[in-house]
Amino acid sequence: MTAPVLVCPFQEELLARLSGRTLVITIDDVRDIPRVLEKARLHSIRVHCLDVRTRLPLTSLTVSEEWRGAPLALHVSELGRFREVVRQLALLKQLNIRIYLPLSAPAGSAGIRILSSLGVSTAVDFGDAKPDWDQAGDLLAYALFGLRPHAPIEPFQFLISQYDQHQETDFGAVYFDEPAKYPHVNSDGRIALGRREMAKGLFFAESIDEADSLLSEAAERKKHERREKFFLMNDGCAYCQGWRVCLGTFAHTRNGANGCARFFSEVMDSIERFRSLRERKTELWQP
Amino acid sequence: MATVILKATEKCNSNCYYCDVVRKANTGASMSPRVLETVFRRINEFLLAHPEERINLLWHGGEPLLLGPDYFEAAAAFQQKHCEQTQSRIQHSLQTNLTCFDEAFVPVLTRLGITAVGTSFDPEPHMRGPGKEIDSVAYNTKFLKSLNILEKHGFGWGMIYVVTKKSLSRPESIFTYLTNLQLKGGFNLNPVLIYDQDRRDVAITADEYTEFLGAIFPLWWKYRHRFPHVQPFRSLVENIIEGRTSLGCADSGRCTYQHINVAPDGETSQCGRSADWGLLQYGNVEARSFEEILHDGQRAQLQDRVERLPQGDCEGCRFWSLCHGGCPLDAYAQHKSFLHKSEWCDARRGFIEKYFEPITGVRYEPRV
Amino acid sequence: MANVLFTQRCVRSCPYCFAEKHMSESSPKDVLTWENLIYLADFLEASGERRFSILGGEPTLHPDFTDMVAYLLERKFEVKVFTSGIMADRVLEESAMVFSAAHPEQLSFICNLNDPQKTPTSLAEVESAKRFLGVFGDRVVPGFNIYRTDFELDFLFRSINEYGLKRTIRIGLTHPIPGKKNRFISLADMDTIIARLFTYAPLFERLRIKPGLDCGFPLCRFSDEQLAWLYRHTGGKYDFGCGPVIDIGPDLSVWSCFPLSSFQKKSVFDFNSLQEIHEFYQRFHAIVRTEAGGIFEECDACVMREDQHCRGGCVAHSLSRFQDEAPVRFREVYV
Repeated sequence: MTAPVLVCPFQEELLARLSGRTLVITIDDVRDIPRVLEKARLHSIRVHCLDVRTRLPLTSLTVSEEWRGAPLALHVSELGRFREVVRQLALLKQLNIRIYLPLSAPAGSAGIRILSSLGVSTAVDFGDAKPDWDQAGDLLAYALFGLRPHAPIEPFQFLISQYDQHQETDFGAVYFDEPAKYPHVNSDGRIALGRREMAKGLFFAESIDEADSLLSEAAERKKHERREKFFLMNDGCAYCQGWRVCLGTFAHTRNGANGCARFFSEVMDSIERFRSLRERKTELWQP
Repeated sequence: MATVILKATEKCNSNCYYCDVVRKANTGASMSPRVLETVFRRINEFLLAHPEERINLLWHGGEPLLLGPDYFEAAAAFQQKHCEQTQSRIQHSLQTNLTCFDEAFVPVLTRLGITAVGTSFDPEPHMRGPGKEIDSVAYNTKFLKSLNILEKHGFGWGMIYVVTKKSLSRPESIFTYLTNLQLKGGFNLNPVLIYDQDRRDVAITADEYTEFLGAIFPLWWKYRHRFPHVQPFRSLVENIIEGRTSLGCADSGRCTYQHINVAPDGETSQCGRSADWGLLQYGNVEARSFEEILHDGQRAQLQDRVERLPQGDCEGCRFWSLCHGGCPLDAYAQHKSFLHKSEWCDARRGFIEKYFEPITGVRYEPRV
Repeated sequence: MANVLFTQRCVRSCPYCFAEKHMSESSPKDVLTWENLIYLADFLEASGERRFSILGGEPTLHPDFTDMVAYLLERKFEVKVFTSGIMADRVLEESAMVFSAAHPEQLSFICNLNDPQKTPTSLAEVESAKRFLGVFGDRVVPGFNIYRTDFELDFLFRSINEYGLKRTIRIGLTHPIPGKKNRFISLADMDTIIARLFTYAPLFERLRIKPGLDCGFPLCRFSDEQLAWLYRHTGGKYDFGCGPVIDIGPDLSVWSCFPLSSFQKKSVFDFNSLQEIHEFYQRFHAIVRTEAGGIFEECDACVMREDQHCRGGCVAHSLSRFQDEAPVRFREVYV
């Protein structure tokens, strides 16, 4: 089994305790990026990714040469005016970066398309409120069937490679929200299975060492609890055709109108169609 | 391959609304170690005499897992003791409600070569569950926990969903639920079989069963690559489109000389229902060999049925080779005679003509 | 090539307006979305088309005009904007700043100018257009649409010199819009306007400005001497064509050209490539030409038309005429 990647906030003493580990380090200010990279190097941390959660438009951030080589997941509130984006575009394209844009932002879906069409990797930030599923559906169509090559749009790219029609496919890893792969560490070194669990103070291990032995079982238990939760209800996500990809992730947004059901059903249909089109392409012989 | 249905116990921890076993005069008896040992001796005797044969030993009940892991350990020991040369030709299978399954069963089921189990499930409240209230929440909770254990240890599983009156209002929802639970679609959609008057509220007619399947079939046909193993659809595709002969016991017309039901006291019969109804009784395993039981003179009635129906109820039916008049016990339940087709034949025919053929675009033509 | 409408609103109300019928049938609130812009950019690119013409209404009224053009430039399109030059100062300032780095060959404007003496124009509009020309002069090809026989071009020559515009004047001929009463040059006036155009020949020569004839001029109305002059002063870069231009609305509806906007309107989604769209509307033009070879009766037997040196004038003339006849022709030619 691949060793889990711990998700933790940036605190130097915590980094010292996690020396030698592979981490996703969360920060909320892009200006901290160089400092975090430096401290990580100092403590022999392998940086899987810096998860930068700003609440600012991309255009209000100064993309820096110092970000070169750093794996970045940059969450922004919106794209901002393109004329300002374009000034930073050349550098953005050279970075190891994926930009997360909320669908709920002004022109959120358009922002994702703009960046992706210009070669910058993006991801849909579905947010906690009810996403606009029609927009998400249009974006799905663009991500899979766009007329021209473009940079990957997550979680669709992940699903293209990972979706298995006979199994449940959890795309939470795109958001570092998959217990078996990305346990979360708080500033005290206590370990939770995900961001929500950490926010609720639900920890499965009191220390990193303890987590190593308990993680696999705890993650498995969470998976089972999810099934039990939804399959014991007399209505809801277990009755939904989108289940094997959504896995109840958007249960809180249903509220009568099931745009999510249509969307996730479309996700599966589209991926299957995408794959069948790809399989139909003739590979020319090679000497 | 002969099938031995081993009713190792008549006890059950569930009080499923539509179950016939819990309503008949149930002794709650379990098979004694002596009878169990005899079964394995008989199996060995039969397999030694028939080197080309195999036996499928189906653990059935009641709820067989109520017997506990030790009981299965004893069975494994008897098999080891009596079937040294033949055990490679014994295949165990298990039909359980899973509600008392736990980690303790895993080693012995593995030792018996069981890699997948058959079970039953119903998301509808108060259909399956223990107690007078039919506590479906308790049942389903335990069921789901057991699935987790099964999957953790790499066991496969399939299930039976019993179509009742309560299913009829939302066939697509139920179907989707079942395919979400059993992602490859390993389940059978069987009609509820009600023989008494006090549970008519859940009984369905052949037409209703047809319509239930018909409502689901377009969805299955569109997404059959996702969940291929849904019965009766898969079987119909194999037989009608793929030209393979693959029929269950009720439709194959070949159960006559292949099935033995062994009750806890060692009494044998054709199957569970024939035993429950006092029909086709073939004697006790302590007194008779499997060879004698499988060739009991009473079985001729069933063979006679297969030969006579094409000139009787099934005369001219295009679908004869798909159902052979259906289950003889179903026919008996309705006509008190085996020489009739089952009422579910009409459901089969109706479904194929109204839904299967138009949707798939393939008309069934029996092979000459 | 295709023209993409960023907006369906305009700041002017030219008496000859080609787009009037389309605009009167569309919602002025409809503007091109980013999603549709990106789809079109992909569509054109996939069709091997690297040119992107932006049309309106007045495209600079689009709230994201500057950003969208910047996007297209980033996609390496050769962008051409058809504008009146009348725009808010804010838009002009933004555009000036954002477009300054673009190579003049990558971004150019066709600025359709009306003669303020002949076409009612407010002072504010004139001043606004002047400001635009002042900023973007070296990227601007002035355009002029002839809709009256007493037209004058002097103001254009002055503007070219004053603002350093490109030394070509795109000269358009106004055409009828079937089903709409716009002002246009009638067939009877063709000779008059051509003669008047050539009174400016010495000025074109002296100021070294080239005339660029837009679609629909009939070859037969030019004398051999005039054709020779055109050849000498444009290097043969003129034709007497009329074919599908391909206009695409903000909602991705598509039609052959503005005067023909009521005929065979489709959606871009109905086609796999720009070539397919062209072929579709070429078939439509061929149908019209089957009914009437050109705008004059003699077009039917004209060798120049058969040899495709001339298309027989603008099909809108024929289509307009068909609308007033008994409906005995191919059904495609009726609104």
